[in-house]
Amino acid sequence: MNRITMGGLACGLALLLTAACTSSGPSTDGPFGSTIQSSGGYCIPAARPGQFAYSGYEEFPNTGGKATIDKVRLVHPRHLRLVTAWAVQISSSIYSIGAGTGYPTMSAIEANAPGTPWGHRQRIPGAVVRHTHGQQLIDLVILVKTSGKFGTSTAIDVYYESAGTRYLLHFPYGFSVRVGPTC
Amino acid sequence: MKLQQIAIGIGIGISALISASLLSAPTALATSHAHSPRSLPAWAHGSIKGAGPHSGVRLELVEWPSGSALAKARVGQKMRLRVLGKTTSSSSGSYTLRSGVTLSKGIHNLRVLARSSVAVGTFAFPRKIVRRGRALVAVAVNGGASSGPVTANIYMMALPKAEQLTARRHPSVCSPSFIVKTQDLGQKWVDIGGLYSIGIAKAKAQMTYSEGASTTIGIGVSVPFTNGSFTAGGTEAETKTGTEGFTPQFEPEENMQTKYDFVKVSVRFKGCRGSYTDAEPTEWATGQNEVIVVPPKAEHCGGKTPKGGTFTATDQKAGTFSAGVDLKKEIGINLSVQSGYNQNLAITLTMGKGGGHFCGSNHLPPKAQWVVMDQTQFGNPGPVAGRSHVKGQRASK
Repeated sequence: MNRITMGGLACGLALLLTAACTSSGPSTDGPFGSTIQSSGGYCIPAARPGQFAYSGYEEFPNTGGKATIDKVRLVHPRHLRLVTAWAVQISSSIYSIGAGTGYPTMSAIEANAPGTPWGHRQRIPGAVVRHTHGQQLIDLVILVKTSGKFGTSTAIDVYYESAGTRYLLHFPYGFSVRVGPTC
Repeated sequence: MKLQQIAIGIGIGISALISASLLSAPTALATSHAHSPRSLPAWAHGSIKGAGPHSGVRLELVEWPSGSALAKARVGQKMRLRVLGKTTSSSSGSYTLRSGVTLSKGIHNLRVLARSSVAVGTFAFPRKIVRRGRALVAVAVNGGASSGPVTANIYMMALPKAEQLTARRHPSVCSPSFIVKTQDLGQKWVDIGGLYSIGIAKAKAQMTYSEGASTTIGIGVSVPFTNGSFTAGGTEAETKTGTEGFTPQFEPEENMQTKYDFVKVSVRFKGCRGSYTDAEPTEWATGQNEVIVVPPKAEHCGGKTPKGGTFTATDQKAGTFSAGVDLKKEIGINLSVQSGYNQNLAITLTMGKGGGHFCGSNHLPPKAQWVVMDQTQFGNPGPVAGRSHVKGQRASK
């Protein structure tokens, strides 16, 4: 390899590195709030592999205007697949949907979190949420499916857009499902 | 070995005890009080409160000796304080202490020592020095990694007349400071965590607390000869040095305790009359104890979790035990303790027979300061309004 080729490769590599260093992801401090200091998470037992499970412990306000939730993803999932996710506006965090196995039915939601307007849930991607007032919050409900005996994730990321800017809300605690009588 | 860390805020009592055997004033020291340049990083700022005057108060930021050094010291042994920065409060009584000193990585206990000609005050706070890129920065020991100055409002305590400086002697002569260990107070139980379930059979809770856990401890201040009253005045951090753990608890309504050693030290201003004494923890002293309590109020509840479901907290701020250390007999007050969960102090709550609800005190878990396993989605009202922890009978019995 001659010097010119080497020089060209070096320049190319430098440009790539520069681009990598200067590119930035979505802001993590947006109208849905910023990451709380926390780790750990919830785990629920499931009767068999492949069972659905849901978690609705993730709540956040929207201090901005109308926002669109583009994507939800599990961080470092192992034997756990995100099936779908919904956003539903709630009046306060006094009662939460919590976590459970199976599909979150209207009756289960009503029993656990009375007053939750589950009928007004919006599927993600594409959920459009309004500004929240006072104690109002947006509840994120995820539905997952295990593919092994112990499905785990370490965190949940929510990507959204508000006023033309893209944001990331990171929940630094995971949701796991273990097949068996206990986690 | 797995490092573990806990942060606890304990109120330390400081009694300003005037010592009659103080050193004479070398006036040459007055010239050593150069203010720190404004370009240096601010470590602490705040206002002067309490006994006036509030302007012209001399303030020093000092590095406090480690807990183990204090524990090893003999009663009567003098220990020097490393001065990191100095300043004088403004006409409005505000101040900012700056320092260009680079501390080594790890946890350091720092103090602001304040003195006017007629009053003294102090504020303690720990900082963890961490590497960020090429720089070492100071962050809070617990609850958040943001750097920046600590807000340290200083409550000044009026000195008895006999211990006040004469008008001709400016407080700037009273430096540098040093301390003398005056008494071993022995081992005291310290609340480091809470495990709570109400009415759920076979509910299980496990707290992990092992070597490397750090304990943040607050201080209190009071003037001498005024009933020895102590008030809270900041926090300190100590580190757990042993491997002893905690055993799992079933159907707990308990505060978890371990022992720390406590001492009294006399803070002295070289060249001036007057000193004050504080009571503070030094080092972990082993031991596990559970105290039955009425669990804290927790009315933010998740949906029903089946038997065997778990909640784990490994890195979050927890609540404050307002009476986390009982030093009433020794210094007249109980001291507060604040815990935080991290990879070194963690809790795992496992739902028992019939399932139940994970409820939080101020938010849903894991944002909540306290987490309680409750039978119903309505949670529990707590012991007494406004009091998070009261030692007493179990709520569910």
